[in-house]
Amino acid sequence: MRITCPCCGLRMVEEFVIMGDADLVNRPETGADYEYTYLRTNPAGRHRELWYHEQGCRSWLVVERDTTTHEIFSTELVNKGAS
Amino acid sequence: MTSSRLTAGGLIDRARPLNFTFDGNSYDGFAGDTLASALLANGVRMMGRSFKYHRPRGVISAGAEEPNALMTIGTGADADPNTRATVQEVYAGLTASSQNHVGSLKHDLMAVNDMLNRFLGAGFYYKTFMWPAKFWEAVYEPIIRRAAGLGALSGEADPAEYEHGVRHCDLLVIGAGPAGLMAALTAGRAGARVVLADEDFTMGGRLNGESDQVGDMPGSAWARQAVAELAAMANVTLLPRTTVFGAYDGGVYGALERVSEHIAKPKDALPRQCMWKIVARRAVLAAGAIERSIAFDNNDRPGVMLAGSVRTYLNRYAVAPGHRAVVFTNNDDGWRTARDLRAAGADVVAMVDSRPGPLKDHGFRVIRGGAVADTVGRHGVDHATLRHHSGTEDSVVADLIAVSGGWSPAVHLTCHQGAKPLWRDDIAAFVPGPNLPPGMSVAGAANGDYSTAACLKAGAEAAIAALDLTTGPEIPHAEDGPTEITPFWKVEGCKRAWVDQQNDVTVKDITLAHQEGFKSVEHMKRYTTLGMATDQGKTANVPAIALMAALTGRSIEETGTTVFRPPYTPVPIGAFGGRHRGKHFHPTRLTPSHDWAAAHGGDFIESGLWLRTQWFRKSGEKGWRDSVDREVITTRSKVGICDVTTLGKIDVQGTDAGAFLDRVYQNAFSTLKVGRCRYGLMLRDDGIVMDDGTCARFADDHYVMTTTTAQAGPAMRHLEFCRQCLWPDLDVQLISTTEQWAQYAVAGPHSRDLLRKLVDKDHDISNEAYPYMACGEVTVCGDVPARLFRLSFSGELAYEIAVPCRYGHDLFDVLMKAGAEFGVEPYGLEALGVMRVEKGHAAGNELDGRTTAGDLGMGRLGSKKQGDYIGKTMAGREGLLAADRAVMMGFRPKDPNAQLTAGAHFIDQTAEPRMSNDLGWMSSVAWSPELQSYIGLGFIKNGEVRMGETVRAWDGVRGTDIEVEITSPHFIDPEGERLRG
Amino acid sequence: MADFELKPRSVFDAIGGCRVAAEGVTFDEAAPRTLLSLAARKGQADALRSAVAKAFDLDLPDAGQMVMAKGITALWSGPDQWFLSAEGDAHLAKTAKVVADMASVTDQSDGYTALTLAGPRAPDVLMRMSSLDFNEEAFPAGSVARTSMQQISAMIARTGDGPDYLINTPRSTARDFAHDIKVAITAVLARG
Repeated sequence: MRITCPCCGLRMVEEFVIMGDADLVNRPETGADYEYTYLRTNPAGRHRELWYHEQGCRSWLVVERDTTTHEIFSTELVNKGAS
Repeated sequence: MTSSRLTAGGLIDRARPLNFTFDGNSYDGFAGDTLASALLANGVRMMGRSFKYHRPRGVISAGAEEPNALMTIGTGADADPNTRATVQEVYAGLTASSQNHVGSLKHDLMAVNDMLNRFLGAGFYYKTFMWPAKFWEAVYEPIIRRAAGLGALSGEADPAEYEHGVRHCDLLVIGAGPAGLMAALTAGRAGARVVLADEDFTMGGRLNGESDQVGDMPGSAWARQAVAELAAMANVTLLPRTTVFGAYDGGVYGALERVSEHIAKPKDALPRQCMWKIVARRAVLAAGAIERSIAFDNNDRPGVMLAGSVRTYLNRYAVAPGHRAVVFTNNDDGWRTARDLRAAGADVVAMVDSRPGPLKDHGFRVIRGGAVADTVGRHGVDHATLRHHSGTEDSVVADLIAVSGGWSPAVHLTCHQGAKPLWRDDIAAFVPGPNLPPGMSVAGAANGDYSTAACLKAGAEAAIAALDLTTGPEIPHAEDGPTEITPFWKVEGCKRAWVDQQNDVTVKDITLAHQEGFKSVEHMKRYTTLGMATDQGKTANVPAIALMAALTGRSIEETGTTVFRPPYTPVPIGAFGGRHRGKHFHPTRLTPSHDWAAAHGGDFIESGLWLRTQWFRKSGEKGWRDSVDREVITTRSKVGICDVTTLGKIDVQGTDAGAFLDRVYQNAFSTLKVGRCRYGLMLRDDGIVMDDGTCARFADDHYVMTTTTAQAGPAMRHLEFCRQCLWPDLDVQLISTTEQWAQYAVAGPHSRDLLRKLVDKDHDISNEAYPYMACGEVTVCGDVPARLFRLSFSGELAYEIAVPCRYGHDLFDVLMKAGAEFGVEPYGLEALGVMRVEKGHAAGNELDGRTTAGDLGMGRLGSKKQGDYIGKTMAGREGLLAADRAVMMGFRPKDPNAQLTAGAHFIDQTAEPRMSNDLGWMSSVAWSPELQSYIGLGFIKNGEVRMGETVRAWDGVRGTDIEVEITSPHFIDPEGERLRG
Repeated sequence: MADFELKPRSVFDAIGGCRVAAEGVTFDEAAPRTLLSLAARKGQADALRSAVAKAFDLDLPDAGQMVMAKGITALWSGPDQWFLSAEGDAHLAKTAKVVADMASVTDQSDGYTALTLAGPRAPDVLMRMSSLDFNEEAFPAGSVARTSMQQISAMIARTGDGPDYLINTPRSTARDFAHDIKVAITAVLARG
């Protein structure tokens, strides 16, 4: 699998670390609750996931991909304010 | 033995004769020969014994699909088993040996299995060896495993080197036959970056094995010319001897290049194989097609070969695999073999076509609507039984039976991402289906286009389409013969007729599988083991599917194929490992004073990727405990130095740095004074402790955090997650400085005295100016910048001093020299561990991903803190606050010399050792030289209430059961007077 | 003069350096330089760019780029983050002053070992070290990439058309990195 890092371009998946469901960025204002901590969407199919470009620019990315085919639809920085 | 080498022709280099051995006998061959062609040239037909029945077997093909001619190449640790003789190039001094026989190849004692075949059919081991049950593992299985099989591993480490590499291209062309060469020429001339990979050592594919013309020259000459043109293009990379074995997502292909397996004495630095990842924008699969056989009785004898492979031996290797040949076909292609055999001077005894048709004069005997029904011969065919359309049979003398049951496109790579091939009745073959791997197209015989003209055209068109070109090169004129076929899978009434020769699966086995209900192809495969050998049924799968379809009355399309998965041909595990083996399995991180430690008796241990010093051996010490005891005693009574460079260090800067740390630590950091450190506990959002360490404030907007060695990477990832994903509005910047600073703990009553000799005079490090938990920037040894932290992991008066890594080695050396007057000694990880257990500091064994701050006795750290932080809410869950949770306590054995063990469970004095009586567990143990006793840290229910009570530390794994007293975890200096001194 | 002296050491001092000079490819440790990380404070990226441009006559490069001007090399290292290198310590002090309040500055001079790889066969060597495309068009002079090579982090820049490459790699694994490069060079040369 290859992922297009918005900063670094197309890179092999080995440079990245996955952390699953991108909803994890929506931490409740009042602190983590049971749903946030334990309940994750994990579909067989199209999914928005968090990936960390650890062996690259250290950006956290939201990658939308099909978990059954590894087809990637979009990749963007979580922190869009950065450049 | 008679030579079967033709006097002229072929692509072998007759000017370069070579000598090699097979089973100890010496033979001659030529450069350009494979092991199989050279053996055939020497009249050697029998090349191995079959998997189960130990029947004599010869080579049936001339390529990677070969099921029979598997050999061990080389000897000793270099021996490589199960190498296909059809792929292995001959070189001077090559040593090959046959496999799977007891005694000699000709007189294999296990051949008795063939006579027992009635009992050894498909699934025999499920039925035959039922009783007594315990005999299966002890007796039957080992015997069966020894009797059946392939070549053996040497049992020694593989001395070969394997390389990894990555190539990028616009177009990957897989296969260098007519379609592949034409695709590469088209793309190459258009200026695209092309990689052309072919499993053969001479590119050209079928063009090298046929006698047809391309343009105005022999096909092989055209191929040579095309390869030469491609080789001259800077934008084209040719990878011969390279099998593209897998099509992965994202346009990545796995390819295995055999770099030096064809060289007699390769240079040391040359790897055996190179595993390439080929990243291709587009790919053209031009992998050709694989011929299949027809099932008739005893069709596995040496001398029965695939018709197309016979042509390859004739035309490419100038070898006549037989002198009296029967050709048996169900399609037009087989006739070409009869033509070429005759041209080479062989006697075509009969041309048997299963299709009825008019009889014309071909200059040899022709049987239409007939079949080869059986073969005879001990170590190879000497007679064939021919069956006529009428059903009558006659026997002819023949030493070669060339069989063509049609061709199967090599669709394997098209299926690696889940696509299913489609059945085409007109060519009786599976062709690539829809949903090809993105970016891949298929051309030539792999797509079911068999004529040379069609292949050349399809190759050019595939490249034009893949690269969006407007035109392509002119396509040379070539053979465009008919390829009609009428399916004919087995001869009526045959029984011991082989379908999968490598795994010894016959028509009878498939019938049996059907009878017993294993009708789906996937079930048939697993019940009969068809297609599960190293050749993965390349010649066997399609006939087997057809036979099962006939038995079930379904169409072949409905029956379907089993799933094709990578690799296409076997790949050694070593090739996947590449250079990452032994000491280089992973990179090793060395601290700046590693060489110093190595030169001063340091023994190292892996700690993550780091090498850390466990202890420093001194002469006269009998074991590691002597060294560690000495190091602990010296540090506690004088002064010791320990390399703590490996701790993770993270620079946290920005106007919101303090606010950020408040949210990631359980305790507050915005309130920390500049010039001070604080211990911090980091939780996960589920309330469990993630990591701990100290954090020092160097300026209002600048903190330096330390993490444990093990968690340095994960902590950085977590903090970046918090920064980028959770609180992007905070002004905070993070960068790891672990690699920048060499850091040393200087611990013991004389630590300040020692540092005073090194810290430049303008920095006051007196107890008043630099109290416990102070930190700051100083200079040492004349203006070398340093950071000084007054921290203590040992519980003694202690500091950590950090200098830029370039000075690390010398700083260790200087600390030792300056400290000589105080009796300084270096100490290692083990002594550090002893002292932290004595002091009751939690470490990795305690922060095991299950413990809360409360369990560690640090619940109060965050109890009064305002605002949210990671882990706050979930840490308040009832279960995590329960009064009877196991909490960290100290443990002392009643007998001080009773050796405690980490992992022991606590039970009450009179309780039975079972889970319902479990009170907790021991997490860390040490021998305390100061207390002259073993001590331990562990977790026990109601620990604080039970302080002073006695329980048992029961360790069922190591067989110990020791009475221990529950104590405070702080064994030494519980009030912390030493570290504040 | 202090009683005790600390001499700076390269990771390769104790093993006799790491230089390889062969037909078509040379590899060596680069002369040490001051290396600073600059990370823009929140919302200060533009101000930082102008301050650096004014002080050093250098435009901080965009993603994947590097620039060299008047002895200073600036490498893009992440969103709103750069590595600046120069000879000597003066650079360190001046940069810190120029960008104060606009960027977090961290000394990384000792955190990385700088290596040079050059020559027409260098791309063949890199092909065995990295999954990146080092083709002229994909990675022309002035390109920079943070990546991993043989499991080790690396920041690689193409500094010239030799082609010449500058690789910054963490100090603790620099010996293994050099070992891997040497093995790759030897294997490339063995192929002829």
